Amino acid sequence: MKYRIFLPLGVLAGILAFCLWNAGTMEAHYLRWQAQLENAEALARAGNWPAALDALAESRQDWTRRQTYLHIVTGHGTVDDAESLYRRCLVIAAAQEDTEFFTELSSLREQLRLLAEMERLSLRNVL
Amino acid sequence: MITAFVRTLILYFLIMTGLRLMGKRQIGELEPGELVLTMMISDLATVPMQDFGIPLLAGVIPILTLLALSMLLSQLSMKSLRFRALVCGTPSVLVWEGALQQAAMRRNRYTLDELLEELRGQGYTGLNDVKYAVLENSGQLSVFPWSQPPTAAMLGVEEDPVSLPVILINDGRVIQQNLRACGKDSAWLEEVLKQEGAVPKEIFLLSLDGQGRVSCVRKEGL
Repeated sequence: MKYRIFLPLGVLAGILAFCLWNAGTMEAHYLRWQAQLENAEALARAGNWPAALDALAESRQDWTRRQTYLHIVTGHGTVDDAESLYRRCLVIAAAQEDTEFFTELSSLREQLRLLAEMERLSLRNVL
Repeated sequence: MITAFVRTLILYFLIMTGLRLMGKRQIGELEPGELVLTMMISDLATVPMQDFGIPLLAGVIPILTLLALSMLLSQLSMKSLRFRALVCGTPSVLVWEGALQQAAMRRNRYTLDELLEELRGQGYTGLNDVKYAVLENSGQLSVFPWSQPPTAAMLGVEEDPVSLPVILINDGRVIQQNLRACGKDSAWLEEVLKQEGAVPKEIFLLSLDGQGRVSCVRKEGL
């Protein structure tokens, strides 16, 4: 009899734990990508474009490694938008077009923030 | 994902509360919890099925949450009478000793027309024939007339006890488990088949009831 109560309670607790773990993981990924992009931006502002390009490429690699996880847990449209922004930033960084680069980088950072924000437990999201 | 989980919890209780407040007559055959579950699960299941931009988990997590919640609530209902009354409601007596219980009808938003319609549907011409009428949790009306049909004892005839026949041959296949459960063996079955002049393959249905009566239906077109 007891297991019949503990089973659904366990399932609910498991789902809640997974959701909270997912929110925490997304936040950690977001903070890491933000730091990587801030570093790339600082290098570009200092005029060190090759280093900025390397930093950005490294960040993209890190992002690409999480694609399966991201597609499992979050809306594919948001992930795909961030992916295309990454690509655009890389092309612009290679061309060393500073104004456009900073605009696109800002859009990319905002898109990544949105990804983490979607998974966060907040009154705004729930309501 | 956490948003989907919390939203599911909120929506489940919201719809449950809404349906309980609506009264029994809107619910029909299903219990409130079952209705909520059916509606929400069917709706949730179609979203990730149709929109590939939504991860499957966004559909699976709310469905799992609903199922676990439903299981938990039904278990708690079995443990606590008060909780059961809260979740499933309690039956309401609409007619007591032939008298209409108007307060109960108002509480359940059950109109006189609906009551009369239901009585006619069950073969009662009017309220005068009804001693008790109970609105069940499922939304169905149970009606008890003033006079019950006469029993075998009242008529002075011998009762013919009802027993559930056990199927021994189903579409040519002998069900050994049922044969053993009836306390019979293959030799007995062979004897019965000999009397019928058939082999098991030729029998569509062979059953045995509690009084030891054998019923045999042969296959057609053999």
